[in-house]
Amino acid sequence: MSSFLRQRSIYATEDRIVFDIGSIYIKCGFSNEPQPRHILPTCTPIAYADSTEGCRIGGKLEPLWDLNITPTELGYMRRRLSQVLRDAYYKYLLIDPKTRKVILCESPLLPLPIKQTIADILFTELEIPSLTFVPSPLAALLTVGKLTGLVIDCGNLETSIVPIYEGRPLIYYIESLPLAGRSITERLKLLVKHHGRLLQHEDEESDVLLPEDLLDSLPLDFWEEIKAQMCLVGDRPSATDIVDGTTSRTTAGEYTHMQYHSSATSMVHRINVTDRMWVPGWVRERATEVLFEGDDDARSIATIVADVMLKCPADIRTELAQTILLIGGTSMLPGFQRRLQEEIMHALEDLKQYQKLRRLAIKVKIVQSVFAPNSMAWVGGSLAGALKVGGKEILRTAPSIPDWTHLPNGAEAER
Amino acid sequence: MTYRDEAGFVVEDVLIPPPYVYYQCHCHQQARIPSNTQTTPTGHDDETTEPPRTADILSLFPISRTYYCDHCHQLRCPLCISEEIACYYCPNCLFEVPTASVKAEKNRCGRNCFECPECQNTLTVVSLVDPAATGTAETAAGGTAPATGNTHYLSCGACRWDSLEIGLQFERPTGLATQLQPVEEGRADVREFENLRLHFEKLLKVKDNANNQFGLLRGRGAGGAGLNLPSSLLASIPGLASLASFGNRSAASSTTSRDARPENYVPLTEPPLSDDTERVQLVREGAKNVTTLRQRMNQPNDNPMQKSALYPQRIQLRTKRSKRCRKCEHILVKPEQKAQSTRFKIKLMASHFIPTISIVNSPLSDLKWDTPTRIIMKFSNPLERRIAISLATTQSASTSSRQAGDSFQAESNCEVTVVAPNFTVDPAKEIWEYDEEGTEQPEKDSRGAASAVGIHERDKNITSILVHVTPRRTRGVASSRSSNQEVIRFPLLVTVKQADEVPVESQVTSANPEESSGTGHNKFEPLSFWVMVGLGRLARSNG
Repeated sequence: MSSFLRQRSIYATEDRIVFDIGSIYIKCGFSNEPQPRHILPTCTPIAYADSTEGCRIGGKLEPLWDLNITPTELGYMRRRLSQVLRDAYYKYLLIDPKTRKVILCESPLLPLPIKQTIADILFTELEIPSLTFVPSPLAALLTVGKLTGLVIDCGNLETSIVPIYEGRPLIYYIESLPLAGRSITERLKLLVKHHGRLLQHEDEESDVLLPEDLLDSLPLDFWEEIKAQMCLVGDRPSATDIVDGTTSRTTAGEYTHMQYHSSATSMVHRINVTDRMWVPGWVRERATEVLFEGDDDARSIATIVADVMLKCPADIRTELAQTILLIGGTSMLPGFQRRLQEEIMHALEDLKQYQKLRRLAIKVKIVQSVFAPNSMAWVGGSLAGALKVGGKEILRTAPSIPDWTHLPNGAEAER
Repeated sequence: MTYRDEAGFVVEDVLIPPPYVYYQCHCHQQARIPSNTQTTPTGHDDETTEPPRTADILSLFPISRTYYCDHCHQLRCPLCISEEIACYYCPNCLFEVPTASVKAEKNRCGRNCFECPECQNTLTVVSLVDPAATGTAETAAGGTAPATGNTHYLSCGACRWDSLEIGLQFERPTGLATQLQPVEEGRADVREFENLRLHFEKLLKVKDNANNQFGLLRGRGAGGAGLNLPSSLLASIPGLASLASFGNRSAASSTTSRDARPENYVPLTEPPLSDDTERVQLVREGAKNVTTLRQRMNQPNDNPMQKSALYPQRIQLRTKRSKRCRKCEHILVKPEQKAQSTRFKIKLMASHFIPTISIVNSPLSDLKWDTPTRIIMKFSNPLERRIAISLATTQSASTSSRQAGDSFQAESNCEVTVVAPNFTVDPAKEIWEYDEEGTEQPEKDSRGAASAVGIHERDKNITSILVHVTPRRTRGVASSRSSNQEVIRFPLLVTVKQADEVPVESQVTSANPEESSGTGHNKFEPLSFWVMVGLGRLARSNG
């Protein structure tokens, strides 16, 4: 990673395939292009339940991996990933995998077994000629033309903060939290269970709570759809926004989360032919509070950003604070950037443990870019492919995954 | 439904809806058992194959999706074949696209084929004839005459969207893609990307020059650690002494590059900062015209949230692919080059070589725990020779060296008894040959009487047999993710051999395949494969 920009290799002038494999979406396309060709959800094919011999239609969206990977799930994940990659090559990219080299954008916290599985599938089943890993945060930073910055990757499973200086990711200062897209989905489900209503047939309003088995049967892509269409991130809630009392007891049971007032209107979403789901406005606005509330250790996204800045050497802190980059699909929620900036400033100014950084609060600035945050890492990979730079190229004849968690000794440094 | 993996862990299934008979290819086991891949000379590798451990869509396939390699005499499934692209075509206009234009047009059709951004159906080109120019009445029919003053636009037949909603019009009804090209190239992100590329190329040249000045190594740096330690420190740590030289050079180069650092990058277009407030307002007010996730991802250029920003995309091309066996590189399936024809030059499908198995009566409603049910399975023979089939389940046979029988028995959730494990199936003949034979009742009766036990019916090239199934509760651990219904299913090992001319049913030992039928070119080797049979769902009761 250190020699990311200094290295040149003798590639041919063909374009290479760039993959950015996330846990629920895969971005794929060709290098030297400004946008990925396709963003594919990682669906498992499901068969039509009522026909004999089952014909395959549609897909069931489920995450490829989880934060903890057990060996059994690895086998299952391997089969699904192989299916998805084959589809990506033969149905969407329409290219023979044997002809093009591949660039893979990897998150620095991706577990090694997953990297090995991906590389194994690409080399043995798809028979690609060579593979190059490109670190996602650095690639994303390239798309704004900078080499120094703080990259916040807010994806589906976890949010990770990676400081990068002069093109070198400072991996010892990386922080991450499992608060990201999936936790928003969980909180949304909880709030809808307690505060949503079921509208049947032609009802305009009702008091019927959504039945639990109906809620459980709703697939993940339904919730992703709801998040994309309905959710937004509101401003930092003031005291007047919070409804009295933090414990709420509704007919669906007791839970301890806050209720808010909100100016957002309620919306209705269709579940199936007869049923619709009514979601109150404040649920739409405040489902994302889970990211900023802080978990049991009082860590939220804003506080871990401040933690990273505290850990970093003092002379680079200003530059990092001025170049904060948000990537990942969850950061595309409307209002996310503004709220995060507000939260970081509040954390730096008001919280006691960050007193040293108080002067940084005013300098915090989130960089804007014309590229969409969910494909920024991909665009960076494509740029890297166009510039013909990157990590070490792994050939099919000598597959070995670079593991930057341990320092190579003298003999291995040559590999 | 949970199963135990060979490592002893529990794996989830992706359920196939019952009733089904799905085939398992050998590639699945041989990938996992690296040591045990010897095959006996007759190709009958019974001792190395295991029954399928999970009944999921990702490793089992119906017979319609399996192939047969006649060189290796093995079943092949979609996972163990390699594919090559034979031709590219547009699914809408069925125009065969040459490979060079495929790359130029970015895998999309370059002629008039667009897809509706709302419902992804095909758009039709509609022309409005301008009455002022031509003096005729205004028609909305698809006109092909390119009269001057006409406006042409795209319209969707399914959802009634048309491109006039976004203000997209064309001057000529043909070559629409070329008319849109300048718009596509002038997009903000395309220009930004170019700008970035030029900027970094300059930067790299500067660094390269700096490197070259000092005669530095342009190779790989200190692994992936990203450390830039001073060389003295590196030398003191054993094992890192060789990195000392790296540290030295990189320190030197970084100082040089710092002096000669090029100017900071200025983006070409300043992205509007107020973008977010607009979107926040949009969603806060509960906008009715927010796009769905799928519509957004269809347009990866700008991921629009508003329906007014949706843009029709050109239709994606599809490919015709020829498939090869990975082991022997023989072609299994080869389609014709023309896009319109659906025939194949070579088509080695498994259904032409191995018997098709299906369940005649689907006992979906008859299944109960601990109650024996009778199912009828139908075997149909595609070959022109009589074949002898022997069946084995994980409970019945298996004197194999592994303790396969015991471990599988603990997992399957039903007891299976095949009443007639060995039987023959008549060869397939053409329809007129059956008519010529007339009604040969005596032959059928004699065979029927001799083998009444377990065989339900024989007809032409089909034999139906009886199987008794008793669902039993599993003793295994149910995982928390399993649904409350369980699919009753069992694996079955089917061995197909060539039968002698004299029927040899109801024999315990299998028939001798080699000595029968001296005709050379159709020597039929015995083949065995596992099949997973799923019957129906039963609610898993408590306790």
